[in-house]
Amino acid sequence: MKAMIIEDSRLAREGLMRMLKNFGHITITGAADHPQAARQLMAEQRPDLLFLDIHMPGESGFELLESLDYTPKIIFTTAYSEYAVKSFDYNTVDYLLKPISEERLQSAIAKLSQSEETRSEFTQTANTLVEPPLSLSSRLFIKDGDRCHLVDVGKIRYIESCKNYVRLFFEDNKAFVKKSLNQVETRLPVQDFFRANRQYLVNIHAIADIQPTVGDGYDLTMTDGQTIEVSRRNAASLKDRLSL
Amino acid sequence: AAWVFIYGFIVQSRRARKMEISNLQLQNSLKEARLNSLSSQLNPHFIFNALNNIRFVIHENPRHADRMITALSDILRHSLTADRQDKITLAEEMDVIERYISIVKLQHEDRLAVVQDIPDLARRCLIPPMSLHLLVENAIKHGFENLRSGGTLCITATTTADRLTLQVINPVNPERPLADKANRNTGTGLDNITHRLRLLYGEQAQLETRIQDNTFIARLALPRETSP
Repeated sequence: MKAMIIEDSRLAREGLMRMLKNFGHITITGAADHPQAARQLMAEQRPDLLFLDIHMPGESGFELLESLDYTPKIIFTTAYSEYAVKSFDYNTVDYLLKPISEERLQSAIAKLSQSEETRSEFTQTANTLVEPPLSLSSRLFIKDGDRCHLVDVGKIRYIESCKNYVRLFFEDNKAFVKKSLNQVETRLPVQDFFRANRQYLVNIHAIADIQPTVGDGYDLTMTDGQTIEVSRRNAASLKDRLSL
Repeated sequence: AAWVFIYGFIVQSRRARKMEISNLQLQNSLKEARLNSLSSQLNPHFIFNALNNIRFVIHENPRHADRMITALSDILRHSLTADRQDKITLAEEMDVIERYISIVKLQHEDRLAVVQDIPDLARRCLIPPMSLHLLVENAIKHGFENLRSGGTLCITATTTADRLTLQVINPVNPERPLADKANRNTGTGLDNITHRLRLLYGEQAQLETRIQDNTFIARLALPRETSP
């Protein structure tokens, strides 16, 4: 597994590198002292895993993650315990507090291989069990409480994630379905539905207007007037998808 | 009469216990206040980063690691005992600040340069413990830690017949001179000093801060006092 260390203190960077030598399956392909340098290296090497400090001069580790065009796995290494909750917003494997003990590092790396195994098991079962994807002309039967809907997939404007449910917005109606947005996303036609951010999946045909935002993202206005923000991380893929 | 005596005794001992309890409560709240002010004085991240850096210096240069451990102990001791004395000499405060900077340099290495201009006359003056230290800590936390290229930290002292003026000057990132969060933290640190100055000197001491040409300037002016 290719990994990179991003950490402003030279001592901490080299020290962590030394500690990681004990783990044969992790190859440190690069190290950077600042997010700016890291972005360049990452573009060349595409590491699968980052050991990432949070506080760095001028730009934080979180800001670096927001600017990436892919989502590597993250092991945070920081002296600050107060960002642990925020770290859940990313593809976080573990959150290590400095000074990092050998034992703690070991358990973080064990978690890494665990998540690897469950993922491959999951994709295997998913591949054998998954229903064929729907098309725009497919119809869905949805029972939401006492009401039943027959929904044309093409008429769904967007889908919002609400905890264990998703809410479908279509025609003049909305309906709850007890599934995760990720589950729903795998069933819908990829070329028509786009993941704008963690909360929304939008039908590309129901976008009425698109405006750039200051943070390199986009604001979408849907045909019903709802505005949906496209996170910076997903903006690039939307652009790719909508260009010739 | 015996009953009256016993009754009186019981009332008395109850009263005494009550007194004792409220006394303990008072002591407790005093201690709490002290702990609160201490925890807000030395930044815990500084300690953890310092320990993390020193533990790797052990491999590179054991003698330097040795010095850094004792320096860190001196800093901790100073910050823990700062509230026991109202005033210490500037020389004593600078002693600890130099140790503090040597630890911070483990983290920032060549990015941080320090220039100090403190005449001997000023070194003998008295200042509240940790006051200049907090200004230096602020400069590093909110100045250097936001600057990729680093820069020079200036610590100066000047005296007149009846005043001592201390200045801490550091470069700030022109793109984020006042990052919201940083600003709030600076506020607490500086408020802490201002509060202490008022208790010790009344209207006779001032702390001013300003940003000018991408530098942050903190200026602390005190009545000039020397140790007896």
